[in-house]
Amino acid sequence: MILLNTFNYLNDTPTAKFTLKGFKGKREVHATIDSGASKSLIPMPMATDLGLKLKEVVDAIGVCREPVKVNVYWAEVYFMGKLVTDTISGFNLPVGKEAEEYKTCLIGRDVLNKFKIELDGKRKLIMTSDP
Amino acid sequence: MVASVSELSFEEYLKAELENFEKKREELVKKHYGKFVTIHKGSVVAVGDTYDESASKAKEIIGEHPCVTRKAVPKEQEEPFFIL
Repeated sequence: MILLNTFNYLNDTPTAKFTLKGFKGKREVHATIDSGASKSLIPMPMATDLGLKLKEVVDAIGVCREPVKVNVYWAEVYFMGKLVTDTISGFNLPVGKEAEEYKTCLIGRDVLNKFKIELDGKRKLIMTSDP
Repeated sequence: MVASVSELSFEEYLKAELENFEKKREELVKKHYGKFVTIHKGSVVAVGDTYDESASKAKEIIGEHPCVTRKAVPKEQEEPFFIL
């Protein structure tokens, strides 16, 4: 097995970085690892900045009491250098405007399920590999 | 046939595509039960085991244009699938 990368927890939160490519460019996104999210997510202003094209709108459930409408954008999502999906969801999570990026972005199972992800909570490390 | 998004607002286009999916639902359930089906301009352009697989196949055919991807299941079995 090849160990691809190791990330550190940030403020007790498992985080990692993925790369997002859109019409207006690409950027590295720092996000919270969220195995409860079926789809990775970014805030909508980021989608606008990258010129992502809107694919559709879907219903989402989860922490919000009622289902919410979530935009789905076309975007190339790379994790560990590998193209993992062509879409990403856009939704403004209920965090403050000054929240750090990793609190506004999620890496969901659409990305995580393509790798082996190990969380070492004691050492505050995330090991990712592609066996 | 659904008009293109350039002729309609995005919301109107999406509504029309979803109506089209509903019209085809029974046929799609019979043919692709449990799979994710992507519809563009009223036609099925891709089918996949996951939302992402179907969307990626659709992108190869139609490019980055609006389209809807839904699971081919009876209405009563449908669930919001993006768990945030």
